[in-house]
Amino acid sequence: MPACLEIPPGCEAAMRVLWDYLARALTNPRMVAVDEHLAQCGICRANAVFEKRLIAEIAAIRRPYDDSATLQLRILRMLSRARVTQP
Amino acid sequence: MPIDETDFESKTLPHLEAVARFALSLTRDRADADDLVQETYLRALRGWSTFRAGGDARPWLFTICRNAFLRLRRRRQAFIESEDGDLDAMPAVIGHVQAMHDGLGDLFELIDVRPAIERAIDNLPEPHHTVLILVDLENNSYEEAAAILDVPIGTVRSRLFRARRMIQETLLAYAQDAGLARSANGHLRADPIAS
Repeated sequence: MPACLEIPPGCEAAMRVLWDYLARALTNPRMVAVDEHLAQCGICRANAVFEKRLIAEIAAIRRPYDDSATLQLRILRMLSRARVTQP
Repeated sequence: MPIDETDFESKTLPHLEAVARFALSLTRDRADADDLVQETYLRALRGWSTFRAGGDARPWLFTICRNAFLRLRRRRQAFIESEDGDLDAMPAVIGHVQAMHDGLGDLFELIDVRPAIERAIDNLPEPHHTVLILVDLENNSYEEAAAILDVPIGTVRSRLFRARRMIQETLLAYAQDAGLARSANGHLRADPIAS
């Protein structure tokens, strides 16, 4: 069991930091510790794959802003007016 | 000191669509979002002299947008939240373990989950909805989201993880309702609820 994963050891410690791990927001030793745990634990590995896919699916939801060209024209007109009246 | 108009447009307009998406996520109404974007750019123009040259205009615009939204709406909801995102990460994983046990381990391969995720995102309460949009959809870092929202990074983590957890729970319920969950004997449910 990697020493960097704190008590309680094993799966629970890895699961607690899983989202930070996927965001690569852990310190290097903790990243390595989770890597090592996932390499030897099929259940946690499956969890990591699932959570990573979930985050990817959420990110894929980003929708284009319909008719942003019209909005840009509106903003440009507003900026022109604002510059005219700028003190 | 005169405002460099060309610089303002070249630095801010490339982010218009991202700001508009963020505004829509805040207002959840297209007309209100357009108004909020206009207000954001007007405030940005007025404050352009305070923008640090060489800085990233995107998070700066997001911050203005959020502040404008708060001023316009004057709507705040009281909520209780933990500063410990791990508290939400753990049940989410446990939820997945249970889902795997129920036969939902390969959920993403079985059904199109996007409609369920879209609904789940739309139904997220504030402030969790905004954080999820900022980090997961608009690719801001924890640090950038914290600066935009003027909250500690721990709060961003907590809100983000709770939002993901709520989406995951909705998703798993969606799959179960679609008849994908297995019964205790390992067989698929015979009577799917969802059509």
